[in-house]
Amino acid sequence: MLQIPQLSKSYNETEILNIKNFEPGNGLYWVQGVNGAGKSTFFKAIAGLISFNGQCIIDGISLKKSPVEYRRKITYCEAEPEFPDFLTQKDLVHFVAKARNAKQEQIDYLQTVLGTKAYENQPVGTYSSGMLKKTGLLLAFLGKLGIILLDEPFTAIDHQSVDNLIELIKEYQISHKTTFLVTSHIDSGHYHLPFDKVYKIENKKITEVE
Amino acid sequence: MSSLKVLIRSLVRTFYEANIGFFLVVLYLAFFLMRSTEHIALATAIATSLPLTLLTLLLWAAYWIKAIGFIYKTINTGTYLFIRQLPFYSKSKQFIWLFIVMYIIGEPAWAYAIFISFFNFKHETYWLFTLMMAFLMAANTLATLAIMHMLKRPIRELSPGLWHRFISKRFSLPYFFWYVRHLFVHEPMLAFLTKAGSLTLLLATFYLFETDVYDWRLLAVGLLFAFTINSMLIYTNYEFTINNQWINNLPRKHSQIVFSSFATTSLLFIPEIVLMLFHAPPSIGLINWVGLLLFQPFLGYFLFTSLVFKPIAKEVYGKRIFYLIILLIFVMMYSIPLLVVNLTLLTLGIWVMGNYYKLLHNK
Repeated sequence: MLQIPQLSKSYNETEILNIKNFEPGNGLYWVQGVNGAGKSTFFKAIAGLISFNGQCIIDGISLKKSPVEYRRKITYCEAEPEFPDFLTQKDLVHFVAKARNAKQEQIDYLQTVLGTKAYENQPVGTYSSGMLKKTGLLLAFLGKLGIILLDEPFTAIDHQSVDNLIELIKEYQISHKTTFLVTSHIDSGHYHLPFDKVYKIENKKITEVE
Repeated sequence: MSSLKVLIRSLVRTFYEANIGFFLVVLYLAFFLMRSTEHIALATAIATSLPLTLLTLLLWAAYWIKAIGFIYKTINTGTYLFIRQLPFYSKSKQFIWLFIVMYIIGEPAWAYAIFISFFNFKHETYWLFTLMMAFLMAANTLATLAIMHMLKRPIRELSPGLWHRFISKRFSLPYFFWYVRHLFVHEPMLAFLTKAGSLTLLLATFYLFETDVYDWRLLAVGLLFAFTINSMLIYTNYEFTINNQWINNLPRKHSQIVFSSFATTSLLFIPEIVLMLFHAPPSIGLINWVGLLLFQPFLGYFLFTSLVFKPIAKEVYGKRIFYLIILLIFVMMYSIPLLVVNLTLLTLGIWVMGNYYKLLHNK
């Protein structure tokens, strides 16, 4: 379970986030916020990718004290994932899967659900934005994870893939007990997901939307 | 591809690609400017003197610090974010893989150390050899451990310090360096092959010049052919200018645009100018020599400005260059002084750029 007693983040002396006592529990959550509200920064901070002041804890493991153990429990898929042009999806999947002890069956299953198998041997430089997004999603779902952070997961991908992704999220919730924090815009398919709660980031704070 | 290969391709390839300009300069110094006797003299001096060995180690330390800084920046960019999964591998794997990565990055230092070690053995300075090897092992190991540590921790945005801000404000990369940087970062092969071809041709011309009695026109024709090889760089400079039109739309004076475009073109010919300075034939006189030195930059500037003013497709460009070269060979044959040719080319270039500026700003 994710616990954030305090988290503040500033860029060039401008405070972007100042969050206190955020404990969403296990489930599926929608994080709202206007452009520039700090949603991606919030996700990157709790994913352990960028520095911040404060503390984040998952299942009693502190990000500050045990960063590697903490990050083992959480993944993050960026809104617009980027990878080196010269690598293939197969290279990336191999690298991440070995790191996260993901089995070949899981890779095959995710590739089938997300429809990425067909271009796994192509260099990333030839990918469209949708193919890049699916590759990012595939990497985020690899391994046995406690929390998955999805930043705008439904943008850039086709309708069929949106449906498949929704099913995948539901399945991970049931089979792996994974908690999801999702940012999404009104028109990008999030409304098919049974969110437990909706949060809004506004004026540096995160609050529950009734 | 194995995880190690992914790491090597991501970090090593990116490092060498990003620093190709530096390595080209080193290669140029090592294989073009220095003779084998000079190499031996330098290596002997390093192998037999503690201060010189320490100076060499200091230079290598700077190289490793630069490499660590580069990798830190690389693993913190969105494109290489996946490398942050590396700490989930066992510590031994992380260490071995990153040690190999740092070894390949440090390969130029290792290779030169092996070269010096021959002279260490020859002069029986075994302790200097041991010092050098111990330093390289320590540097490689420390760099590996530093990167392992960086990968574990969240990305820390480094706000520019006072010194950095002071330097950036005064010595930020001027406009005329932008294309050169773009060329060496994005099209290193083109830059390398062009320069290698052009310099080889020039060297051959200088050797030919020494075999019989020739006048300056032989060198001018050699320069023209070397320029033909360089003409693709002028075209990519033009493409870069067109693709970054906003630079020209900045509120800059006409003189600033003329100067920066001229400086960019001139920078492209620095290797040729340096080579010529080292092979100055005494028989052709100072005026002709200055004319030869300035010929390529002035011709390049004229070609660049005419391209910017009246764009042409790449397919037609080769034909245009051919006609230009034929015309200039005729000019040479009629012994028209190069300084006159140069001044004409420069005047035309500035005039064309002036018209382009007026067109751009609707004046």
